[in-house]
Amino acid sequence: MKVLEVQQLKTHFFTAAGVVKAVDGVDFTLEKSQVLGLVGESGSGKSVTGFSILGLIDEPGRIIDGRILFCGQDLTGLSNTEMRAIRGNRIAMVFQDPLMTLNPVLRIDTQMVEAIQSHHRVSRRAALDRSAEVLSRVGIAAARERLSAYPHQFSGGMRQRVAIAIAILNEPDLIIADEPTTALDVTIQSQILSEVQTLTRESGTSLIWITHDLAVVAGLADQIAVMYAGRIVETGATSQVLTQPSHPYTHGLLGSIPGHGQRGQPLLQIPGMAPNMTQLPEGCAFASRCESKSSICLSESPNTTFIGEGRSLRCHHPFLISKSS
Amino acid sequence: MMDLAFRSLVFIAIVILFARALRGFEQQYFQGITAYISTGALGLFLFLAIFSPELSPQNPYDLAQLSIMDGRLAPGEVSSETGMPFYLGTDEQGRDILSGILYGLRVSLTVSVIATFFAMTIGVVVGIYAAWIGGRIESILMRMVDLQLSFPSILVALMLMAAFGRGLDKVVVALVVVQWAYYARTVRGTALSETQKDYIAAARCLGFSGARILLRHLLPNCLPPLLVISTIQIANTIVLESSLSFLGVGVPVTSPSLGLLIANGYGYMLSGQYWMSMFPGVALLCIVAAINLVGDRLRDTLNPRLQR
Repeated sequence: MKVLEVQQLKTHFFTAAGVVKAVDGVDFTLEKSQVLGLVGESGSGKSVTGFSILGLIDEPGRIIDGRILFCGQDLTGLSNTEMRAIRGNRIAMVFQDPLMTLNPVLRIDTQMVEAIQSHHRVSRRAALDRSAEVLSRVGIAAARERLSAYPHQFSGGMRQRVAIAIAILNEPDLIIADEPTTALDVTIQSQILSEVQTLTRESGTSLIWITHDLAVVAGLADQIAVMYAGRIVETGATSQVLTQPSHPYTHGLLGSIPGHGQRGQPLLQIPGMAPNMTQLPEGCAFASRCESKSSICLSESPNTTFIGEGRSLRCHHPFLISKSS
Repeated sequence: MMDLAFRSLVFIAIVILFARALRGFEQQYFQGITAYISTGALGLFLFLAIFSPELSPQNPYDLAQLSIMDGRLAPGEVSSETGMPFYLGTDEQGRDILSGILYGLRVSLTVSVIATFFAMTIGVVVGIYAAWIGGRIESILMRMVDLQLSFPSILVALMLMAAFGRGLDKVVVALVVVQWAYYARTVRGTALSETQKDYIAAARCLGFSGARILLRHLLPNCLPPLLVISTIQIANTIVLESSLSFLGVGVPVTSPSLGLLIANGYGYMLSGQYWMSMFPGVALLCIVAAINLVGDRLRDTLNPRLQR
């Protein structure tokens, strides 16, 4: 069953400096209890895609085109009140910096009860029970006692657990996680990753994991979508994309991860910088940094081509995939 | 006039509120001798102001208790009729300066606390709304604040008092009009930086309504800097009220504040009868200094940047 189907989503920001095409024609689908890793560098439109799904694009930004089908319902046409009933209830979000996502002046129980009671008519006692249960599920010991603590009494990793607990409180169908482990140290990161994996598997929740760290999605995601300059340049099953990257950008990303065997050798790097989003080139946005570019790359933007089961690509000169896939 | 029981309650409530605000931070607050002295002095002034009818040797505005024969007695002299000593001297009508100061403290403090409260309420509403709504409405509101702040406050207050006439309520209105803009600007600044923080975005992602986010999530986070500037603003308000009264457009003669007492004795300064103006002046200086020092300590203690 398709939980989320994003079709030709375009979210543009109309700034004084020009139109920023932060998301420019993004398509992807997400099945129930699947994990999608949305990968890309800073400013590639990953987060804006997430906020577009939640309908939280602020002025001067606007969703100008496309459809976001959530369980068959188009979210782009919903009123603010209808969207509010979905936010936090059926679609939840987890943010990058756990030190900032909890309100510093409110106790944890207050924030959790509020999150439940704004969507369900339940007693405070029932809401507290539910909060304690969820807190212990994300691995917080003595959840009952910790409920009455303030956010600053928790460490960074604990706060991210609380943030995840708040996200799964109302048993959403979809969680959008915007780089939730980037601000944490590596040991905590792997703990949280494995817990998130267990949680989504148990509850059948779908997950969009936004990150710039391919290593993180490698072990977590079922599918990967690589974004560059507001477009998805390559999608596919995680194992395929990671072992046989076809787009030069994905290839470069993977090549620039340092490994054990390359000691002393220069690391592969992608030359140049991400393009200025107000002045995207006419052709392929990646052309100026691409080693295999040709004249067509500078004049024509590549269309999405399907190259296999759930595998698509936007490139004029993709790396060839061996027949075995 | 408030009765004694009610006034006692008010005093106890103030002490409890202060203690509660400091709960858990006593160690940081009581650092150094100034903290003890200023807090003690402020407590003493509050006590004196609230219980002035019980504490003062005479009611300086009960004409039956005054004798013109006691006029302009130097500090320490004794009443020729009742034998009552005047520790701080008397004014031209035989009023005890000490009693006058105690009653005046009360007027000054009441007026400035009430004015500060209303100015803060208006300022907070305007500031937080401007920060939240943004766009043209924010620009209009903030230009109003700029306009207000570009006039010297004493000038604005003088014009208002000239238009309204004298009276306690009118002084309060004038002080509110002059002061609200400070709060509006401070709150808007804090609220702007707070709205950028992820917890507001997280609250939106949880599907909370705008009003709920504004009141329950944004407002409490804007309060700490406000509490600090409000203590300092109370001191400023006392000074401003005293200036207005000194200039003869402030509180009515029937309920004189410290500023009016200073003004009354001003004419005798040059003839060596310094006490009529000087002692109220010293009292004013002490209370403003005490409030400012307490405000400084509170800021250092409760500063959210140092705590969280």
